[in-house]
Amino acid sequence: MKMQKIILFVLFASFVSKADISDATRNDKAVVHYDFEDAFTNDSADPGYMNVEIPDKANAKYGAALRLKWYATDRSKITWARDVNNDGYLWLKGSTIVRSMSMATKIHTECTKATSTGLTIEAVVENNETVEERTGQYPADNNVTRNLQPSRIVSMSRDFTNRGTNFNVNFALGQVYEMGDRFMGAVTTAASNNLFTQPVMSSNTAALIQGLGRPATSYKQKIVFTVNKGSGFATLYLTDRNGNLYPAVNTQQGFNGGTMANYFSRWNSQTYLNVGNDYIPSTGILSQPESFKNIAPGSTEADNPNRYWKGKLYRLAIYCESLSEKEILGSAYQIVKNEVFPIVNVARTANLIKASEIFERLTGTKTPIYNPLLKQMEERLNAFDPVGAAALVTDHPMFYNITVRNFANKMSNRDETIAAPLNDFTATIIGAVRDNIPAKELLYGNFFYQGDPSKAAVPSDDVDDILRSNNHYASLDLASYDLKAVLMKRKQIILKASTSNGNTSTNNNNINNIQFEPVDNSWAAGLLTTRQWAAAHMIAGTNRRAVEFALREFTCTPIENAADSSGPEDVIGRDIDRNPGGSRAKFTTSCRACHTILDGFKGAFAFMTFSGDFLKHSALVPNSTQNNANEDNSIVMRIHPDAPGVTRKMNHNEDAYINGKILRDDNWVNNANSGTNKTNFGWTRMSGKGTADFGKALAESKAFPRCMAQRVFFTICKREAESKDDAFIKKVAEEFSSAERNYNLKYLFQKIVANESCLGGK
Amino acid sequence: MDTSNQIKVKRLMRAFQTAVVLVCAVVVFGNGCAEGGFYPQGSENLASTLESSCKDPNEIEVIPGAKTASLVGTTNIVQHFAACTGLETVSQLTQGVYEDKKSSIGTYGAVTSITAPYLMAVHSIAGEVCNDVIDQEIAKGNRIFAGWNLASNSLPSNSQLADAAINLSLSCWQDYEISQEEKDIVINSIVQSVGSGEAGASRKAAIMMCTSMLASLNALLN
Repeated sequence: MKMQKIILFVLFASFVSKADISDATRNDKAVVHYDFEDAFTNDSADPGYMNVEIPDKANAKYGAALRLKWYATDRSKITWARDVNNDGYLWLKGSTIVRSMSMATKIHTECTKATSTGLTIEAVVENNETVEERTGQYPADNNVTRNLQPSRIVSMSRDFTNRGTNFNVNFALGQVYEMGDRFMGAVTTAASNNLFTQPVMSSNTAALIQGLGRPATSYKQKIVFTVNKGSGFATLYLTDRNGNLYPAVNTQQGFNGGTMANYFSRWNSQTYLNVGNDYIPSTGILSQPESFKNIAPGSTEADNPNRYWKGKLYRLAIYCESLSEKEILGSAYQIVKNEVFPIVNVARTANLIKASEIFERLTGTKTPIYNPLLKQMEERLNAFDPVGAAALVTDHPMFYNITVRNFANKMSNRDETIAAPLNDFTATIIGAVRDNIPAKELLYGNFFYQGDPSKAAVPSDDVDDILRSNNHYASLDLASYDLKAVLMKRKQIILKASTSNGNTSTNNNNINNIQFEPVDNSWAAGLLTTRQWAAAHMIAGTNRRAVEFALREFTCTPIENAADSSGPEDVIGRDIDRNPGGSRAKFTTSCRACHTILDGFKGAFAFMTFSGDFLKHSALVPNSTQNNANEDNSIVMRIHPDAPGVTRKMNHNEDAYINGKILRDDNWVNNANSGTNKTNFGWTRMSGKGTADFGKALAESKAFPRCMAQRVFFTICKREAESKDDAFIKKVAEEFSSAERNYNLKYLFQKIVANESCLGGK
Repeated sequence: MDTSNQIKVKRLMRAFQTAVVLVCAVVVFGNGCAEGGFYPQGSENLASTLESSCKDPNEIEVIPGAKTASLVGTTNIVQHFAACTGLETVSQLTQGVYEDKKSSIGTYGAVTSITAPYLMAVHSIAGEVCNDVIDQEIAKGNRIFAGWNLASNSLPSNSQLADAAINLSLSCWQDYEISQEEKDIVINSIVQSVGSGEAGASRKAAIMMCTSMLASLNALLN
């Protein structure tokens, strides 16, 4: 059953992930290609696999096949098998070498041509080694005082050294085992360098690049390393835990490696292709020490020629071309791409100009006046249908990638800046606008949006990249993916964390003892339970900030505008001094005004906090009553012994006023409902339980549609709405919240941009 | 008018002028606020006073029925240039230059955010976008620089230069067509700066024309 589940998972993962070099590209462009699909025969005539030759399946146009052969005599060091998916692999189990039977002349010839655009190395590997086995057994070394000598997955060399003017290593792809897997790619270019001497991101002398894969587990790791002669950029692609390939790291500036003609001019033509090691002469294989500890006294690790690599190898291909990102990522490369129109002269009518202004404000970009879409918009404007004209633009990718993103991003962070990195809060609003989800549901719905791994090659692991970090969204941003095309809707998830040994030591964040599991979020409340919202407003403090900013962002009401000194004080917590500075009057006239509202609502967030880099719910993580429990560096949530399940920060500092309210559950009351607040907010709910109820209260208020209208106005009209715009904002907010429009944000943008308050004129 | 009345008028004029200056000072140099701040009014009545809401000291008074002038900002400048020039995808180099320069570009594109660093940053980014456009036209065929041999060491002819200028204004100046005088300025600048037989003369001319027109205010308006 477990095997079946594994098969299903792997098949599903294979189906979902489309980021890969296509067979067509590989068949056309690989100069050498080994798929390890041909079984080794273990027959009595060849018990040690000494006669096995691994065929090269590259296109014959690149020359004679370059077959590989195994050259060690210890048959226990190498086997061949098929995995559960029936994929063949070569398993290197110890110090060994698989080397080309002749010099790799065709690789040298093709790559040193002036027409070659660069080099790409493609490998699919699997490592199952534990950390303990790695140290001391490999040439690679964890001691920072020693030189780093990565194990060689593949190399093209005639010796392991690049010393002085003797260049013996043309390229190598290596791996260093540490707590995570570090992969390194290096290429000798026209300038001088020693390979792997300094694992830096880039240098002026050669292409040397490293990237961190996921900690070794039983899953396949794809590695693609490219160097582009023209730009000098090198990129290392790796896969996440789910097998999704993405650009893990690239050089931040081009290398000054030479011209297209001489870029690989220092390559040695007398080199072999080596798998699982650097070049070692046949006679020397058995005599080379396996461990760096056994090297000759006075020598260093750099002198040990044995750089053997252990693991399973599923595929190896070398291309004398710098494959493009599109070729490498396949369909998982839906980046922003601008349209190109034939240039024609057009008559500049007033309505054509108006159409271009609407386009600019809705997309944040300028389009040529001859864009055929403007002509269609002009026709609608001629027919006195400005909303219809705007509707033609709200399908454009840039409407989502720029304008809606700016609208959403401003609400997503404490600084209220549009320049914040993309995050789950912002992506959820963009996706909801695209899919016409009513804006109300953003505050209580059970959904969020992420990039579809089959359309965007970014790290997408639920635990590592979505719940415990912003990696997934930052990568979408960095690679300029078209959010309109790649975002997909999912039910909300939340992290469940436990320790495998039952030890809830509060200072133990040892990854080996902790089990993280993404589970359905039973307390989902749309944007209010996204990681970004929690990171901004539920970190440290008392969770009152979550209430304050909910009012601020979704009803456009800063707390000072809602403050009501007539509100009850029985909801106010024990951490608020009732005699600040010895003055009861100060509390009554000042502190109470805000706290009656904040503390009344804060129960909505009672069971949640953001610490240790993820949103915690007390039902899903170990709870600790120890006041000094280190929440920030562990999976634990602190709680007060008087209030099980409630995050301790909501009941802390109880000495300020011991008779204050103890928050014991997630019930809340609405104390922002008297005097001018009653009119301004227009609430329909006066109490509730939990975050979703609080979200519904916000969404059903009269202030919410008005606030959304103001925010859209600011985004596209480039100014705040003023008193002159009162009537317009009120009217459009009513329309937005009507049964017909049902809180459709797309319509709000269309309606506002077309109005003279925004773009002037008629 | 007799002398006493003249004196009264002058005093009134001075008083009026002082009042105007003071009002402007209050409006322009009022409460200091961050650029582009969204200051929610929190009330059904959106009217705000200087006491209850924080106004941008550079705020331009709203003229009813008129569009607020605005420029490209940090979040859209690269795509803004790429979209109008028909650049399909932006290169890594261009992205790198944008990352270096973006701190000099106003977040919201307020017209009051034009500074010398802003203009220099805009020119740098525009220059890289233009490089990408030229590379695209070399690879996929001429469009803006119709008829040019972009790899040539010779300057294009004046008519080819003029056509390219028209194409750029159609693409990126929208409601404004380049005038003859402006064409002459652009062409003369190129001819004076780029030698007719200089290495890469054609490409240099293209870069110069494209960068100067993309970095102009007409192209920056959003």
